[in-house]
Amino acid sequence: MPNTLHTPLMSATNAIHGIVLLGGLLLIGAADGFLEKLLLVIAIAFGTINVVGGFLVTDRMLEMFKRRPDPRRAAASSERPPADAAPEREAA
Amino acid sequence: MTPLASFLQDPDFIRALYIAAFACFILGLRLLNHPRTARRGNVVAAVGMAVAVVATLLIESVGDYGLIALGVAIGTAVGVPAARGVKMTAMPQMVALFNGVGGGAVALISFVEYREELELGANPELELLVPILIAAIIGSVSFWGSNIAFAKLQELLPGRPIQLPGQQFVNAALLLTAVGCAVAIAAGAESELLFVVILVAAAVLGNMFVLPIGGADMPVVISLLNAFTGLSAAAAGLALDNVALIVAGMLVGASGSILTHLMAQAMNRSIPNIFAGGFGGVAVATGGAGDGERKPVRSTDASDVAIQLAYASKVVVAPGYGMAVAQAQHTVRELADELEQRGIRVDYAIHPVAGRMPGHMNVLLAEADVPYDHLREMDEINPEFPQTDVALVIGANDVTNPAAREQADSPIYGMPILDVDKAGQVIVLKRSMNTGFAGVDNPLFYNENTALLFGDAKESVAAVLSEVKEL
Repeated sequence: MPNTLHTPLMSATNAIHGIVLLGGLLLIGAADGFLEKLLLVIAIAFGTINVVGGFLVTDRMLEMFKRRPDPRRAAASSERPPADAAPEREAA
Repeated sequence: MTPLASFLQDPDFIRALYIAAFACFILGLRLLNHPRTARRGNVVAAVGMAVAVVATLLIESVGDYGLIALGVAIGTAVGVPAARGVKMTAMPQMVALFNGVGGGAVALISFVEYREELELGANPELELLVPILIAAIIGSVSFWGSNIAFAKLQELLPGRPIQLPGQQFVNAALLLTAVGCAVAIAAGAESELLFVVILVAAAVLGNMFVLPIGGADMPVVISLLNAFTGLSAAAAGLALDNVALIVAGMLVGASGSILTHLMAQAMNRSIPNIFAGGFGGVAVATGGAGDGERKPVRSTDASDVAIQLAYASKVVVAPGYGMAVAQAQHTVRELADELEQRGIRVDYAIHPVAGRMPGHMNVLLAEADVPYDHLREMDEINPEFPQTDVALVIGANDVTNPAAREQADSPIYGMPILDVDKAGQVIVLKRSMNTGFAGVDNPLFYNENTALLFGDAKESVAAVLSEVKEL
């Protein structure tokens, strides 16, 4: 596999182990006492951060590969910078 | 119970949903191996996760939906803005953080599961205790180790390896404490206190284990901790008798291990070597020995650089973390466009681990609409450096360090590098004379054909660009 995809793949597998959130779901019904409930709510929150954040971040990384110009179009577009580069020039 | 409810809560139906979820995970990971299908693969895996969560919520014994909703709401409220708002340059530490909370969840769940087993009164069985203990230790190590990795990448902690006196001894003692307490619990000691001691010892061990590792190796560390968290989730699954946790955890553990190996290979580093404890401490000393005889560096200004570039026929840009930090990729592409209009061929030399993660540079340059065929992998571009007029190194350091090729005593010796020093002229854009992330001095800067342009990468490139336009 290309090196380029190492990071997104790691990030996606990272999101998948957020499945441990299910462990919180399974236990919380039987939990008694404030401490156990608190710990499990934290665990569920952690798991959710892991899952939701993980998949979203992976998607944002992969979004960057979406518009890959083919070589011919790339040659044409490299002659004139697309409009979205203009503000960047001002900022610089 | 209505027929519909009894159908939905049928264990066989839930098992079928789990199998569908596994199929999604496996298919998703396969699709992620190819650039064209990768994004779809991520969506497919996310759908698998949704199926697994819904299936679990259907299980009859699952209750207290109010608290579940609360936990999910908090997690979403934190996770979504974090993932949306993070800058491309900060992606790696975000992944570390997400990995950490996963490990933390495993540790918390294993602790609660142990308490529940104790409350049931009967002596908990060994086949339950062993996975609980394993999940607790690995989860806690992963949580704290990931946090240290985050702090190093975020530069809250120095990236260079931090060595404490007697570290190996302390680590061994911590591991013995954790394992010793675990054995005591497995042997029948019913003590929450012992369990807490395990969690704390593993937490300190997680800190101690990542601290001495240099920043340049952090991607491999995060990948390894990712595999760890997967395995700990699988262990928690054994304890909770939940097949979804077991399968998904093993899947992450296995693919994470392979990925760790691939990443280490791309850097020509062996995994035991990385974890034997950082390379920076010795490195700085070795680099320092030769300092007295070093020639001073040659610094240059934007107009000189512009002239050299404008009269070159082949320019190779070697980007690194400095370009990412300065968000210079758009300006770099404008400069390349300007040069190409003058008939100069501009290529980008992509080192597999330039930046903070494999693929970091590809992502940034793709964002700036750099034509894909101008991004050249290291093995492909290296033979072309001798025919290159100007190599423009933008915020890259360790990946261009010739010491990796020539100095057998250098701590990064053997790591494949971009041979920029073989180009006619080398221009290095740099913020200061500080060493790179690995904390190793770079002889490239003292070469006769090297000139340094100090300053923020984006400002420097913009200055060069305006000078080129005036030529």
